[in-house]
Amino acid sequence: MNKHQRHQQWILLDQTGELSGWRRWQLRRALAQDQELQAWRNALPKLLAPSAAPSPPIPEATMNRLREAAQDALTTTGEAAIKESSAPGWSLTRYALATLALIACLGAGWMIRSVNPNTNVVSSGTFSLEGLEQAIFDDDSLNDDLASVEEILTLASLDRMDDLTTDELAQALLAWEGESL
Amino acid sequence: MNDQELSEEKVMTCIAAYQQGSIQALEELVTLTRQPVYAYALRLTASPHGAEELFQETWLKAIRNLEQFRGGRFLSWLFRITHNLHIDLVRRHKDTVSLHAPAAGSEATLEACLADPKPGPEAQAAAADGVARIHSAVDQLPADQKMVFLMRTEGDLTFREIAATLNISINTALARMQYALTKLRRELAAEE
Repeated sequence: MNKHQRHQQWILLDQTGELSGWRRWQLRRALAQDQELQAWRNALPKLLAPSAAPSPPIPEATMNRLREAAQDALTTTGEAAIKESSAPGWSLTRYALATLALIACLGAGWMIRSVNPNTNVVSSGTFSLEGLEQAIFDDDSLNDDLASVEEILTLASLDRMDDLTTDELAQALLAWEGESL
Repeated sequence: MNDQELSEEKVMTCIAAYQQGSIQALEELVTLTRQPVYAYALRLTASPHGAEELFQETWLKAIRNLEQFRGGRFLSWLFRITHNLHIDLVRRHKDTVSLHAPAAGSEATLEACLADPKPGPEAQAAAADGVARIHSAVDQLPADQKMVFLMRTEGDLTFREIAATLNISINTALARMQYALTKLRRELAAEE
């Protein structure tokens, strides 16, 4: 692109306000020295004139079609908004369920941990039946949940099978059960 | 078109009102953009019927995608839709012979090639008008130059906006405009 073409492009950019100040100054200088460039610029208003004829009015059929589309779009948007607004409800339900599940897990964990330290079933080197019984009866919340106790005992026995045989554990459980009943 | 009538503020006000349920606000926006969009469509399709159809399709698509408009020059956004729809239309009908498509071996449309070489009284009167002569010369421009020229003249888009609309560089947009103007000047000088 030669200098003349570049200046022509600057004229175009100047018309749309997209020419930088420094280049505008350079263009002014070029225009002052170049008559051909001046003629090119002076011809632009005529060439760039938009359509003189006004557009015809919008046909009623077109406007009706656009109104229908606009109404449809509003309805669709409204439905989407309702769906969106209901989405947090679902999320809340999910969060609530997840929170309940978490609380249940933590509760179960707490129950296990609350039994283990007292019984010393896992942490201690020897199994103490008296200690286990004491722990169970000390914890009122466990009295009504024999299934949980059974599970705890089974787990404890699995961890320390070498300390207590299955028969011994079963006898201990039966003895404890009969006493509690 | 008056810039003040279609200011960004006005556009956003109309869109907000429409999104609150006012169909009248949308009608106002359609009416405000009628002149530039129809004129652009008319120059692209070279047919009042085609222009009307393109205008309607442009606005139907605009309505469906109004939420995607993120501010800026609304007319530029509309012109992009018009441009893309026109390209789709041309592609769809590329295997069919169209009066508005470029004739084989020529940049002029088939309609222009088939036109009676002797202009009628109305055409003669129009030819006397400088604007009509320019429009006629613009119709003979290659499509890529014509697009840039029409966006600049009918839509008053900046070169940055034209470049974004046509997905080309600003230098390419400028070069196309420059070629178009040089050709138009030559055409008009030859006629005079």
